[in-house]
Amino acid sequence: MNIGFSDKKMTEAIAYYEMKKYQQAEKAFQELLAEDPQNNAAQFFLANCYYMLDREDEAEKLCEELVATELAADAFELLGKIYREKGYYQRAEESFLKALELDPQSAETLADYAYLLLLCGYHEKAREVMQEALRLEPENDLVLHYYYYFEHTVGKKKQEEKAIEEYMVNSNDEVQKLIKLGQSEYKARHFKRAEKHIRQAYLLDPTNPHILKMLEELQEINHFIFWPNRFFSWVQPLRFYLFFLLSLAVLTFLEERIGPPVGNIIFPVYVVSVLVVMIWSWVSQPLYSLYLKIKGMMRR
Amino acid sequence: MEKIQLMQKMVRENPGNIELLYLLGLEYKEAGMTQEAIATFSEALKSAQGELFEKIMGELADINARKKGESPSVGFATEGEGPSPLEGRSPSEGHEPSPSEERARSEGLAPSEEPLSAGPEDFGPPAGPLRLVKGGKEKPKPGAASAPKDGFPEITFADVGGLDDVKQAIKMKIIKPFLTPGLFEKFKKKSGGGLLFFGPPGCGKTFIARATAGECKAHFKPVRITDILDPYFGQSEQNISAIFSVARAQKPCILFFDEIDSIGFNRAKTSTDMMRSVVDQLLSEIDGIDSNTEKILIIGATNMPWDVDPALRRPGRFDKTIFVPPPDQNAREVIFQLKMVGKPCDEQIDYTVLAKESELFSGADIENVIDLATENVLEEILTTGVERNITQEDLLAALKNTKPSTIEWLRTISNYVKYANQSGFYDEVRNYLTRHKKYL
Repeated sequence: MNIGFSDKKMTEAIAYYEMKKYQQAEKAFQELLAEDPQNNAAQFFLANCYYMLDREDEAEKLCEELVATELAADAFELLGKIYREKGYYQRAEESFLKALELDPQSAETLADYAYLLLLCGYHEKAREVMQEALRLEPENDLVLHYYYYFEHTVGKKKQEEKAIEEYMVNSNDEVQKLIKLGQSEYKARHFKRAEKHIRQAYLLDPTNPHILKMLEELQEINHFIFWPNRFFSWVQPLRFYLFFLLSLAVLTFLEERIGPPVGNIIFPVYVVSVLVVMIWSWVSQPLYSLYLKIKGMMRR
Repeated sequence: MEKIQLMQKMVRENPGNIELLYLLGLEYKEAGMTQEAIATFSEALKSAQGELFEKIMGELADINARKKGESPSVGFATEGEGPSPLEGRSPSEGHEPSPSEERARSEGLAPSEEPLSAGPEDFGPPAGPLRLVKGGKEKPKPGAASAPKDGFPEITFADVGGLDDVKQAIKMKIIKPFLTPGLFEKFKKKSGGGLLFFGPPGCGKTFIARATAGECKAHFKPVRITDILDPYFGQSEQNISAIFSVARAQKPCILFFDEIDSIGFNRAKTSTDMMRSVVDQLLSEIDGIDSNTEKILIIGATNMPWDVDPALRRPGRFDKTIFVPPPDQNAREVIFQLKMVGKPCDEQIDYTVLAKESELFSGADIENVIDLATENVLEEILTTGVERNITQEDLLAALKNTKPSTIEWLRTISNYVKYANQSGFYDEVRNYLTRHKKYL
């Protein structure tokens, strides 16, 4: 077999794709297709590149050509993802079901479909489909990726921890591992730990705008100005108000028993402190914006 | 020997593959099997084109020069430039029996019975003198880099406009230790190693690397991912070994890894094993260089330093980093002047003003600006029918309509510096961004 241009070029293009350098991969696949327009594999990879570069319309167009080829199942699966991304859930479901008709044992398609059902609110059905995907390929990192998001959304803490553990063991993608750890910590309101994980993910992939946005939000949340908000988020408002009412009742009782020290000093100080913290939590956002403005002016 | 046998087998299975023939020729050359090497290269020459053709000719010239006892040649003569080193020898002169022929004789085998069937006899009679055929190569255009792509660069720092800080850093970190290793040894300072250029795209990293090779008076071997990756299992790693072998044969040599973020991609981010083994092999080869004796330097260039495997930035590898920013005002002035050479333009064009108005523009951006101005002028000429030169106003108008391509990179790196510069690796970048913050 001759090692021709297309074999080497395909190797190079796939290498770029696996490194997530989608722009270089796009260029390489286009060169391949210029030489051999019937190269369906290159076309499919190119569609995936467009999808990863948020160019869904171009990806959709390529997939529609591929549904008449031997890669129909993969093309329908990608179409399902595109429609899901665009919010066309009905079309997404139709595409996933067509893909499953052609390849019923595709764990990845099942996982994609389960995620769609989760987004549409069909939790029970989503769980069934996800279990089937896990049964078919329990170590597939894409399946485990969706499994994590499923448990993160509807599952209990233990199930979510189990999903993360499975992902950590079976996946090689460090960036995604750190993102998941960060998201779990955020859900548990451990904001500093969440920031640490997301910062590590950002170090590995600084061109990802979603990671940057998460990091900026976490930096904001962890700023000193937002400590009352963090406090209320941890304590939870209902519990706090109940505690406040209970403590008022206790102080009133103590005032009757002990007298002036409680009535003249402790009681007012306590009430004023709580009010300050509550008002601070309401104005923390404008305070933070003012702080950023002053910081920017001082830099100039 | 095993490697040669394996390669011979691969050549037998893929008879039309020129690259395999070239690699086999290199193996023969390294093993001292000169006649086999010449025959293999000659066979490959029949179908080679472009860069590969030049490489093979370089190898043949090198073999011939070694036979004559000269130092390795840096290129090859074309007609009209003096006698070719390979001309003027009769077929019988210098035909030493090859080790394979001697072995065959000693084993009582006729050459045709030699166990290695893909030997020189398969490629016709033993190669005699090679005559370089006229034609093929055009004279280099004025202003273009006149050095061959892979050879002894004629560019030096004198050809690089501006960027004095960068040039000074390279001189101290690389050139002086390379040229005067004795002085640095006296102070127990290790010379050699590697250098990593990083910066926005189109700002001259490759050009500066060539100029560095010119200053070091070393061969310049660019290496791209296409030179390494191969669909056959294990071949990519062998390609890396071959590249370093060739570098050792052509010392002093600078190996330039363009897009080192792809070739040496961070293994923590790759989800498959394909690039992992390539990076492992690269690390192993780099560790095998003893720069003091082998006179080999490695230079890497990247737009994405965060994608480079951290192991590649450890001491002894790409441990010296230099930020190559967009060209400064002096450099931009020189670039404008160079790019306008040959174009009909007003004599009153003030390049200093243009350079001032093009802050953060890369060399490629400046070329775009000039192209845009030229297009506008041509459009006007075609519409009005009146021919005129390019004026300063045309260039300034084109500048206004063009945004520098470096801004996106600088914004990405500014966030990176904000969140990820605990190690101080990006201090240079931070200082640059502070000086240019009003443009971002």
